Amino acid sequence: MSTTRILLVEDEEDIRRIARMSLERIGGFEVEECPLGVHARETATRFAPDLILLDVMMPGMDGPSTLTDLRSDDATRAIPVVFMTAKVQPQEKERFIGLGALGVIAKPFDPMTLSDTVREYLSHESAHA
Amino acid sequence: MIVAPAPPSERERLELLERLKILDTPREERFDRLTRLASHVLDTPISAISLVARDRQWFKAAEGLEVSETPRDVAFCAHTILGEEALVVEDARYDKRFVDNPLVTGDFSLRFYAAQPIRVEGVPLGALCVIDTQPRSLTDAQLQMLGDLRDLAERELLFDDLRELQHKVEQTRRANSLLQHDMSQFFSLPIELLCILEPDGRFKRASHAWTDVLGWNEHQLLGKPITEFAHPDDAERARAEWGLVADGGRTESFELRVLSRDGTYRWLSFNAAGSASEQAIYATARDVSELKRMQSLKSEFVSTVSHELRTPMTSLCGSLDLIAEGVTGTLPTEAAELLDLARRNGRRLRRLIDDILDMEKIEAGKLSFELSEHSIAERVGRAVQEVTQFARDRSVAIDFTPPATDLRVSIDPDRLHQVLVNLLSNAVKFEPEQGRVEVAITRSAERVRVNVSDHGPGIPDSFRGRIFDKFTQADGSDRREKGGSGLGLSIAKAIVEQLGGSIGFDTVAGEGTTFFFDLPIHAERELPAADARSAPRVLVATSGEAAAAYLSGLLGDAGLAADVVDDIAAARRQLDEHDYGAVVTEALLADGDGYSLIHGMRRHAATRSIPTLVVEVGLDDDGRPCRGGALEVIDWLGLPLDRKRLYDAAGSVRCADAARSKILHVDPFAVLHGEIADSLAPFGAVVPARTLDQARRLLSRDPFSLAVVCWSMPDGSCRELIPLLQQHHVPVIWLAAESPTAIARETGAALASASRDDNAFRARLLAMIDSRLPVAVAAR
Repeated sequence: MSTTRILLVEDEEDIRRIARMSLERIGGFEVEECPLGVHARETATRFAPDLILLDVMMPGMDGPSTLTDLRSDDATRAIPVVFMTAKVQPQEKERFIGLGALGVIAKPFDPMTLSDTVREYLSHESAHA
Repeated sequence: MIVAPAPPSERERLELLERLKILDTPREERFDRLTRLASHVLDTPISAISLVARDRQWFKAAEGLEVSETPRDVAFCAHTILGEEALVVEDARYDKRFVDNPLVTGDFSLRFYAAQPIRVEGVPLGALCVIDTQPRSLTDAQLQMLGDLRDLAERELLFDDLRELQHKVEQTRRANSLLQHDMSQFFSLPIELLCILEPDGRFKRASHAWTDVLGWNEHQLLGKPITEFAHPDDAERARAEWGLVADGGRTESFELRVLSRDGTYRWLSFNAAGSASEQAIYATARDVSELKRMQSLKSEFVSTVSHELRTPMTSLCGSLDLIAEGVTGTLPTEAAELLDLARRNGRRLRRLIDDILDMEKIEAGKLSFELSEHSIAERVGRAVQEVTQFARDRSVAIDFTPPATDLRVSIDPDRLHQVLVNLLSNAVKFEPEQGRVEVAITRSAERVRVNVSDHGPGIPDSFRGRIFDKFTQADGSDRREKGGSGLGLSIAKAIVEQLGGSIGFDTVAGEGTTFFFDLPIHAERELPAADARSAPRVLVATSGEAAAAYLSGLLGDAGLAADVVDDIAAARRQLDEHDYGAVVTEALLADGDGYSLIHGMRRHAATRSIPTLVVEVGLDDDGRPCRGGALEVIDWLGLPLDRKRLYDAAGSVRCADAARSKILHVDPFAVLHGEIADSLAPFGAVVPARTLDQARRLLSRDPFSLAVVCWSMPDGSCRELIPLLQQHHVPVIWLAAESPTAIARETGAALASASRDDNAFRARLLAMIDSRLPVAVAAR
């Protein structure tokens, strides 16, 4: 079983660090970080992740725009994306799902269960695929 | 003498006389001059304006007469009113109607009588007459003149009536003008926007405030429909609303963006009422643009602040969690204690932020709900489970026995959970140490009620009215000690009410408080267990007679019938022949061990899902039997792992909501974890623990629906986890290279020294039986 790869697109370095530690050490995932939405497509093409965790509020290209950008490229179009946001309004959640996101993880997230949540999304995705 | 009959119009005559209010009034010059003129022009000594009343004739004016009235039966005028023409009697002595009339035969000596009937509104009231004591005749011209005078008398009679009418008209006119004036005053006031609209919404009148607020003067508005000024996005809503109002409806605080003259839009809040009879809509409006702006600023502020707070909280709490869970290695005890303190307070801060955000959403009407049907008992059970650790930390127990009927409610499970956890943790906070918080579900008609009772100090009188208000706690010191935001009950109330329920409390000072909420029952199901529940049978496998009697007694107290066997062979026979709600076995039996019994049961569909408890009965200091702990064991599985067996075993654990269910996997090998996580994914999220230490922490922190435990760990035997597993009611599947007998021996030893609580044991057994039965029925 090859290791599952997660790409983390998040401008806050601290949060990247915690999420990485949680995903690597608890979930046993392979993690790549990307601090800017504008570089997400390029990183995703190179790293070929199984799932992308995408921050909503980022300077420059924000989460939804980044998702649109990822969807515009054949290389990254099919990669499942889960948003991470501190502002989970139900209507926003619906909007994100409408944009094609797999789901939304609320911040602050629990580093002990983040990997489980990611795994759940992955299993849903593979069940639907 | 011929007495004049009453004319056909007698009733109207009398009514008209009444209305004119003329009878018995004082003399008036305007009538006197008419009789004076008549006497003078016709040269008669006597003349009168006679009004014929019910029994008499009364003279409004008279010339040459000393009386003011005579009886009607002698009155000449009573004859005059019978006809439309003048009545002329030249010599009464030769008229059979009057020949013996006392006025003719008596001293008065009436000879000549001529009269013109007085009619008002076509009704004869009396006559203008001239009288002489000499016989005589009148020329046509004289008779005509009498008629002219009669006409004047008629006008005078009506004059009062007309004047009164005119007065009334004048009064009304004046009142109207005052009203108009008042309205103008009113409409010129600067603050409220007032308007009167036609039923089709066109402006009929608009106050000066429209100019002040929107810049439109009245002329620019008049005749135009109000919807023409509405923001395009509001236009349809506005048309619908005004339509309803026009049909005689009302609207309050109806908010609309209205175009002002400078091209911008202002938010107006309308109150309006329509009157179908007056064909008008009366409306007042206030400019709430500033209020709206403030609300949106506040909402934006709260939202931004919460985001800005949550981002660093993610790093802070996340770091603490990772360190505390041993991801970075083991900490010295003191450091671990301080870290725990920091974590607790971090969580408290998070709850506070969440509460403030929820409150903000409630106030903005933006709290959204995703409704689905759930068993209320199951939801309560889940909340109880979540609060159990918190209660245990405070040495408080929570008693909850689910009801016999499965009452189902339409709720948002997350939101209801919030309410339940809030009520439960409040009760735990106020319950004295060693006390028991009681949770009960009752029903009345179409509603289900959840009661949460503590035995705390009760709610002070002064505080009862404000208990559901924001930021209220009994006193400041309480807030610090009990550690809440002061928003919990306020949020709970809003949630319950949005779910169509109501919330309340009963409190007795010094005795305790019960908080309760009611929800409408959506559906109900008689639990299939209803019959078995009255006396569910439990198979008890134990080797000693004393232990058997002791366990039977213990179960009997819980209303459970026990069949006792003393070895595995007998147990298997019983299981083949009877249906059991649960099996309670001692770890070691005469011909084997409890684990082997359980392992055998799991092979067969009929017994696969029967819940099984492993117990240990020893002797206390006085030599009497006493029970040790009880561990729910799902199975023992050998290595290498049979994934199908694991899947089947895990499937027998009831977990209604796999999406939320968590399974603890204690195992030093990451490789096995992936495999197990995959196998068990349908039953819940698998949380790994690689060390016993980590497993202990996780068990103390989170509720698990199942533990899959590798018996041999690098840092010790899993026997050490048994007290925690039994304490937290986590069923276990052992993965072991060792034989079941070896593990059973260790389990027995661990249970013998574990804490015991007979009530908890019975409640647990009942809960296990309850939860299992539907599955069993479905399987057979």
